[in-house]
Amino acid sequence: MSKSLSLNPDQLAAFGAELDALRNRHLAELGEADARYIRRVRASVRITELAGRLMLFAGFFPPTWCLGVLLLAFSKIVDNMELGHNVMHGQYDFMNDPEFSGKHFEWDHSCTSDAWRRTHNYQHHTYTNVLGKDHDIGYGTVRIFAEQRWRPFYLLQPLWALLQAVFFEYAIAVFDLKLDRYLRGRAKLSELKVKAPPVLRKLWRKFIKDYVFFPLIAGPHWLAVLAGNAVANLLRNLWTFTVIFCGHFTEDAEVFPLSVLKDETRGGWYVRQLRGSSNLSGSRWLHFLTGNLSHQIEHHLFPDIPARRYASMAVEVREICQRYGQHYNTGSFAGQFFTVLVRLFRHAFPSRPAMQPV
Amino acid sequence: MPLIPAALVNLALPLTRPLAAFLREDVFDYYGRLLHPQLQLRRVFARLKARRLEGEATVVLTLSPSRNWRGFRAGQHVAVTLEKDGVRHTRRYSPMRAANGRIEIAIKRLKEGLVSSLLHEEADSIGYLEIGQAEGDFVLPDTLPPRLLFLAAGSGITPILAMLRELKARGYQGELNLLYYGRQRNQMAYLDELRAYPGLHLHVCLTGEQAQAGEQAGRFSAAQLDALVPKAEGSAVFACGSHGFTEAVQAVWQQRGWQGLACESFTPPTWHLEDDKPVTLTFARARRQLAGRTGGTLLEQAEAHGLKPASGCRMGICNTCTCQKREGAVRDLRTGEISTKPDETIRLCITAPVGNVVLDL
Ligand code: FES
Repeated sequence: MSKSLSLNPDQLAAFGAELDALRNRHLAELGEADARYIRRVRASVRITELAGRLMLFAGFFPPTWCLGVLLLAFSKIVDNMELGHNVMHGQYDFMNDPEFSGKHFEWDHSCTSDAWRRTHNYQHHTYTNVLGKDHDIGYGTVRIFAEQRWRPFYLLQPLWALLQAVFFEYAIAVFDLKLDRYLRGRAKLSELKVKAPPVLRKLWRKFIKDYVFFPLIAGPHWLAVLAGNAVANLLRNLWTFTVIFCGHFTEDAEVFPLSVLKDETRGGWYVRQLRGSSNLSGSRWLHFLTGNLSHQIEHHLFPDIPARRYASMAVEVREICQRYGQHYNTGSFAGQFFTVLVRLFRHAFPSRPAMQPV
Repeated sequence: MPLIPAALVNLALPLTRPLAAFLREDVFDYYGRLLHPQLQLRRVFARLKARRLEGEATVVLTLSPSRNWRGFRAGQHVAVTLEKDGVRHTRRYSPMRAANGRIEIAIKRLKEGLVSSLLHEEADSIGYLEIGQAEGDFVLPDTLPPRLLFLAAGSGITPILAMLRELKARGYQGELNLLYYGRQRNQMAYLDELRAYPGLHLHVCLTGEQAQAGEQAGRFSAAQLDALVPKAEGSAVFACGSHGFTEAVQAVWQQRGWQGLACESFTPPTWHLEDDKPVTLTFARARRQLAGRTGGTLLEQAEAHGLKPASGCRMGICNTCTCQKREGAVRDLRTGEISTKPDETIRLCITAPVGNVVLDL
């Protein structure tokens, strides 16, 4: 059951206009401060990566090894979230800098950035939480909404989710290929032959880099480096998985039938983004390490505004939502994640959607 | 202060080329930049060596590009990029050969030109500038014709002077005529060098003040051309200046059915505020020109003509339809803002032309 009032067309239009005005105010301000910020973020990624890898070269000496792993994991997390994810949304295109161009950015992740731009920027952000259109609902492996059709496969979904968390980057990497369609004979193998090579190439490159190249040049300490890289990747995977699952699968997040897309207005689109997303409250560090996906609501309303602005935009968004009787879904990290786990276990078993008010 | 000397960097640059297949360019460039601004895999940074005034309105910068630069043919242009308030701005200038493998670019100060005023006022604080590879086919032929006629207006003199310097270097012996138009004498760049050029018939034509002895008055016209250069027919001709200027030249050549005219023009984009005015949309890579209208999105107009630019959400959020606008005036449909900047990133689905537009598509 939705905690938000339903709005009539006039209210929807007014709601959308207020958010548009907020967005245009920030668009007009873009400049020096944003550019300096993202350059610093990039510097932090590069410097911690270098430091982390150097420390791992010192072998299994516990303090440096642990620090090396943490630095490398930090670098990968920030690279994927605050840097890569945001830059690929085109948030920094205004700089006209080829190194921060959303179209050309490449990240330290097994998923090719082209596939990411297609599945995430386009499908997920346009059709957020629309059943059958937004494939990010459950990522094809888990059932977290009663509205998804139940299959016996989902009985073991806590296990599937755990596996997915551990191998998150690979799961995302092959996600775009939608392999299940081939297994069920719904798509031709010839199509796979075209789509698979770039994905495999990227997987292979990342694999060689972390598990062959760096261990090799470490010489006698190869095992320390190999293990360090593996743990850093694991930490990154677990972290990104947790943050992303908190974005749209919390208790109050809503899903929508395909029919909402028909004649959806700008205001309607905004409302859907709002109701399908959930925020995490916390310290500045939490916001930074989640790449500001802790402001998932603002990110979905304004995906192309630099994420460093979400915290200040959130104050106004909340105020606007309150005036229009819209529920603003936020909570602590632990609290929100707990509700995700509840959904994960609950909907492993057959369940029925609560009645929607007509 | 760079950590390693420029000479060493430039020795090393050709050696880094094989790395390009294995490395991410932005990662290499990031670390390279920390050591020396020119240590980049492909991008070219040029050291600003000297700066002087030419006439009263033009500043000439002497640049020494890194070895990533592949050189140029006289008459071509390069993109010069500067950053202001976190935004990089690109303008095109014609490089000219200078001593010691260096190049010169001349920048005329424009009233509201952001880059030109930066280069005029803050050039002293600039150590390195990013430049692109040379482009353009406004160049001298390999075998030189016996008679050459140059027509230049305002800063259109720079590609022409680049050619003249090259001709001197190649020991050209033929007949050389130059008609050089400017509003005021003291605003015209390179007059001293041109006057001293051996064998050049220079005609300085003033359009905005009284002509003195040895100078002409008035804009380009067929009559003036006939009076100054009786043997214009059959010359190889290079004309460069504003759009209006090259059009006037073209008209004369067309009317008389003469051959051998090459033109290059630059015009600040113009725009209409009303919707539904006809404009030309150029898709540079597809080599197609379409008839467009102001007000409709570029994406829809391209599709209506059968082109298929990449797109997704069609509402400005997914960044799939992003591309470079090379030049032209466009309106951002979300904010209503009009932009005339060359070389900027736009999204086709939320951008409408308000004048002629050239896209890098
Ligand atoms: S098609 Fe999505 S931004 Fe233009």
